[in-house]
Amino acid sequence: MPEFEEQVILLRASQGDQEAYGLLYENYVERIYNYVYYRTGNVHDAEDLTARVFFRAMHHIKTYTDRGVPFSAWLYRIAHNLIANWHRDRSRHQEIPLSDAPTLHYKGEPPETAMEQNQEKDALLRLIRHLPAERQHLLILKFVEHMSNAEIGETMSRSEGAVKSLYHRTLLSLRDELEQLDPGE
Amino acid sequence: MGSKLNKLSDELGGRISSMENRLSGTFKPIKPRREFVSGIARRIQTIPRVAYVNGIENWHLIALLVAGLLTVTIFLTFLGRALLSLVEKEDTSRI
Repeated sequence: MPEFEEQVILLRASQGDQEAYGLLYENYVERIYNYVYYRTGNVHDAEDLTARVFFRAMHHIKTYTDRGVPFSAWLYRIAHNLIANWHRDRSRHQEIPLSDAPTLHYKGEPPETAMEQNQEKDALLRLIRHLPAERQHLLILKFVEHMSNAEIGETMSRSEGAVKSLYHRTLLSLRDELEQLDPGE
Repeated sequence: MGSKLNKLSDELGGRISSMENRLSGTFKPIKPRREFVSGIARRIQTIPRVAYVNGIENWHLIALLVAGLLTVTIFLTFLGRALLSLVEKEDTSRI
């Protein structure tokens, strides 16, 4: 959606136009869903929280003011707050059930290799979910949304340099943690 | 010194790119269920939000109406009392 068009739709939505809000929803639902999914680790909670993000946004869109940051940043903030409450309400983190894990295709590889690789990915996702929220957000924007450092900076209200530095520190600390789990790496 | 720094930087670069490879294989965009997406879209369209928002936006008009009603009520009360006292005066003058 072009930026100008989005601003017009946002204005209409903030004046109570449900059709306009529906367009915003369609444009952002997958992104928010992916963010929530990778932060919570299961489909059920991802659906529940994604729905809550959009209903909360709908009730507060009248107060939305364009401060030069993308609309997605506002939605991500709502999602972040809801996920923080969700974590607080739970006594322990729920792990990704294998059936819910992202579909991975390994054409031509024996099943045991694929299973091993799936286990490695699950372990990595579990590690990622223990990172500070900001670092998880950064990784999701980078690897799921394929955003550049500048775009991530806009969304997270940080400079491009700060994003780059945080990104490198995050990857190195993840690498260290993985090595501690499996020193043979 | 320079070669040591270069070696360290190469090593860090290698560690970062190997992590990047692992992460790009781990994070895959997930498609939400179509029924879920359309279900929420339907709920967004059916929630009676426009009436509520318009109601809030028309509060100036509502306040004006209430103030007008109050003024008219007070005016009528005073008028009624004045008429009543005139009638009472007429009655006492006849006596």
